[in-house]
Amino acid sequence: MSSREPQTGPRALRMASAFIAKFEASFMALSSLALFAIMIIVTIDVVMRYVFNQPLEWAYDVISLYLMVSVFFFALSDTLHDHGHVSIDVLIKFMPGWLRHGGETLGYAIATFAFALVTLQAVDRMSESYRLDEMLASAYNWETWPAYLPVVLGTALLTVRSLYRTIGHLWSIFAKGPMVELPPLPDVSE
Amino acid sequence: MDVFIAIAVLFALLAVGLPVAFAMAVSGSIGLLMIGGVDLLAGILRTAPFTVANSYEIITIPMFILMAEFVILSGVADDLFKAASIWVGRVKGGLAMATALAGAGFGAISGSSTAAAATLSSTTIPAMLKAGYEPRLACGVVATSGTLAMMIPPSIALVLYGIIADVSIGKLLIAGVIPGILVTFTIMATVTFLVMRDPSRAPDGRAYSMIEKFRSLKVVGPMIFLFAAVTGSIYLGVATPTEAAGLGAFGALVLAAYARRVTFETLKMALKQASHATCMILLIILAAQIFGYFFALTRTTQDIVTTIGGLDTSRWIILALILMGYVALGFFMDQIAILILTVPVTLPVIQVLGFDPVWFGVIVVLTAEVGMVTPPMGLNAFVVARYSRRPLEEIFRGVLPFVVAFLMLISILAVFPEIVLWLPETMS
Repeated sequence: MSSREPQTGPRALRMASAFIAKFEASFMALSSLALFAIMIIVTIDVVMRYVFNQPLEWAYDVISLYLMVSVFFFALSDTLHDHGHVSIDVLIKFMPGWLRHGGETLGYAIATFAFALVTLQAVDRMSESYRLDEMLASAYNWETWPAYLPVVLGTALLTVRSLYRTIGHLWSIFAKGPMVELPPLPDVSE
Repeated sequence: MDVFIAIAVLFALLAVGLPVAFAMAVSGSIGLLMIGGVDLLAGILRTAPFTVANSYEIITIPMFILMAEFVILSGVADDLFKAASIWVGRVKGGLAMATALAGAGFGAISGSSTAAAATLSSTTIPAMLKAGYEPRLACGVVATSGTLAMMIPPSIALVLYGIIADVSIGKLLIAGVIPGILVTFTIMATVTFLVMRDPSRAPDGRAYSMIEKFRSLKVVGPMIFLFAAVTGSIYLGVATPTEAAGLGAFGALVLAAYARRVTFETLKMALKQASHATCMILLIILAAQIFGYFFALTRTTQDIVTTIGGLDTSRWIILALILMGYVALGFFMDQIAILILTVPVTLPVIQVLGFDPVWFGVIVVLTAEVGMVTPPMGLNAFVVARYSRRPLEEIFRGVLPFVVAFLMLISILAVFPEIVLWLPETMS
């Protein structure tokens, strides 16, 4: 298990986190690849446009329809796992554990519901787009359904990670200690 | 009543440490459920997430973040301080002034404030402490100089404001140039003032020969190359901000490769960090949109704008109150979250009062710079504390004189908007 996994808590919960992390790592690689591709395509497009007067006409569509969507949605769950989403930790240290874990249980439970709803809507939207053979109105007629795939996969994984956090925080209330990974507090000691 | 419940849930979830984006998405979802049920919420969640990322303009953010990652990798930033200290090192307090210049130089090739603070901390603080500088002054000047990256283009904060406020990103970036230079001079002037009041704070400087001075300029070459590729091309109208951001990221990668610092592992790490930061920002934008739908459907924003617009009070007092609110929010909240959460409400008020949105963007970001160094949430102070291993309290005390100077500068720029707006008006 990586150092990002909780060091305490029931084995089943820790293994679940490590299992989700394997998917997160794969998705993260796709997100990074998409980001690198955007940089290369934009650079080539600018050079072709201003030096050779022959811009890549497909660049705009590919970047906005497929690549940027991949960067965002494939990174969603790994960013949460890595505590990359900013939070306010000023009051936490003054708060009893049960209150903090209780609040986070509620928050992640509703988040799980909301992200599950996003996933279901994205599945529906993707199948509708496939069924209707929807194309982007441009010179290249790009299929739109593949653009929803990162939304479906990314939010589904985020839903699972949020569910894991819900269970972990709920468990922490009764165990009277953290059973789930917590963001590191700023290390400012001398 | 629904609005108060949603806002109470938002603050409660923020307080227990739930990520800001999650707290906003959850409270917005609860609000939408209360006023329209699951159907309304599902309808919004069907389109909003995809729309946030399905945009060409938004790539400016990841490209500028990636550029910052590659700049750090290239090591160019480390040499900036050495070059600046050779040019101004002779003056008493010269190393502290060199830190401000290095911060401005770093800001000109990177839009990340925390990256600037981290980089400056690792090079400038040991040098200043070794030379006998007061630790409080050394840490204070580093934490504040790091914030310059928020203002001097390429500024991620200004790009974000442009996207939220639907204001020309090119104009905003160019509008940040003069205030950025003024902030640099303000930091240098504050150092001079502090050293004049108590000469024991900094030792006498050391002189360098002209040969040494010109040799130090070799670091400026790559910096000018990147600055010209990004800010120059936007100013001259040669490239759009999106194109300039992509070129900047690629240019920074070339610099890092030239410095032989690019390996598969370092490249992977830079891309991962940039993807994480992008994802964090975009998720907050998405969450703010969900919350924004709730505000729009309950007419909350419109009511606030109408109420404030109808007040029989000077617009300057309202502006002052808004800016004081931003400073106060900066004590507790992340700057990106503040921008995304508040600008959709404050900008219409500002426009109703007859202020310019480009100017307001610069003022808001400058105010956010103050929040970056003030307790208890001053992120740059945390970064400096972590890298320098100095107590946080010392850093917060060290930034205090700079905060006062910043507030004076904000007042001047608020009263004289033409200082901010002159350069963008001359754009091609």
